Amino acid sequence: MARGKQTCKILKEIRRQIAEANDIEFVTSECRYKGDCLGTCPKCEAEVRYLEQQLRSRQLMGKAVVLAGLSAGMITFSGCGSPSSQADDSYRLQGEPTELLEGDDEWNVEGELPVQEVIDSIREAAMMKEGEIANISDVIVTQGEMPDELPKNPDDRDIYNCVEQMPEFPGGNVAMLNFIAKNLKYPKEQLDAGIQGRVVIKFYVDTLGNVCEPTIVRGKDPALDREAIRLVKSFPQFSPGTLNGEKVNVWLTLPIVFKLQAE
Amino acid sequence: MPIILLIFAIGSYAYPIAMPHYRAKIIGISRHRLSTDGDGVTTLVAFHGCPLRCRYCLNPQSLGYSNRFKEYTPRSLYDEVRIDELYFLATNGGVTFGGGEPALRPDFIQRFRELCGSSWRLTLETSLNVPQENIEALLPIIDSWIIDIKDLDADIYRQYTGEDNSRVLSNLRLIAEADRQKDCIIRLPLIPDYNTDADREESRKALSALGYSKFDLFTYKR
Repeated sequence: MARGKQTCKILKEIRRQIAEANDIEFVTSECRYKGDCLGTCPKCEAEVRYLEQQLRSRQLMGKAVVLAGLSAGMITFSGCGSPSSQADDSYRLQGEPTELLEGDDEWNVEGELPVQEVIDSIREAAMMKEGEIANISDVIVTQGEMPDELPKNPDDRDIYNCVEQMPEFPGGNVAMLNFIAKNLKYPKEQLDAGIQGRVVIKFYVDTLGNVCEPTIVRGKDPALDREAIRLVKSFPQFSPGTLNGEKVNVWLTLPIVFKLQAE
Repeated sequence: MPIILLIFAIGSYAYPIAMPHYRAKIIGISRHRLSTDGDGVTTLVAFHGCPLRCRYCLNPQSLGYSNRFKEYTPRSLYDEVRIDELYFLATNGGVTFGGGEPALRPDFIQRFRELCGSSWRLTLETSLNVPQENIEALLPIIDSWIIDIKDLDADIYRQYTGEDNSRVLSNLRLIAEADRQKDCIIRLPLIPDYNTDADREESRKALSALGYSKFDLFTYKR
């Protein structure tokens, strides 16, 4: 059920982006569930309901809500993910949005959702229709989709979007965060001008663990973009991703947050 | 006696007009599909019923003789899938109607569109082997089309599906005349024992001539 975990991570990243764009305090905690994951659970659903409630409150107060297409770049259609797919870049899943930001200062918030919210959402989830067909999603497939198989190579260079074992920064995600925190150099001009924001960068990790072809998926400012690329190029070798026990090239997408310290 | 017959006639006339909008047989609803059925986070809604009998059909439970389905109204379906509206809006995703053959139910989908509004992306995963008026009704409602043409060669198509493909061709032309090719992804499957890469290339050339440019080539599983 690796796909479920992957889905869970992507959905969580979308929730985080919605919260960030709307100045909503996003309270989450790391999922420690080890069993089969369907991509969502009552706790994930509770976070969605919490965001909805927060957005409604903002609308009632006459505040603008930022939502439409906010995370559109994260998930783009890759056809069947088939090896011979002729889809261009705009049809490719942009790899795994990492959980790294959970450790980012901006989001390193421990604890749970407000208790009543959790209770309400679990109650709501329990009332969800559990009809006889509602949970047979695994047997519904669209033509060309290969159920129960890992996504195939999406382009001619054998670079995968999603594999069994994703590439790993030496020491894990926390070590990567520390590396970023330690080595990120805020461009002075942008620092003085108070320019901050998020740069999303894509690269692939080859079978030797090297970072290759870092490119900006969503830029903020040319200098910040350049710094994000420089930083990623300076990464040490990863543990390569593996598919069916073999090392493979894998795309990764990494958001890097440039945030000024509060005075 | 004539009075009784008249009432019966009114009743039987009213029934098929009123009912189609309100119920559809759905074989499955699958949430949080990423990159398999269109852009963004999508929920796949699979309809029961299909005019084709494809040899390698992936969802035989969608066929007429299966009773594995649940009936929905547009409203009950909308109420069930709106749980993911936040994801749909944030990712420009929405609902993908598959099946089975969703283009058999333009009335249901039209009503669903009225309920969900214009901000959800509605995608249709279809063979286009349906009456032309169905596609005419769906063109203003559907944002994206995933079209599985099987093979454009009439003989190959008939051998694989048991049906004629003239409606597919005329509907492809209809979509092209509406200048909506850019909203379509054409699936060109390699169908083991039925077609070859050369056949697919022929299909592709013909479709390119009609202005279609997004193709998805893959292989059916036996």
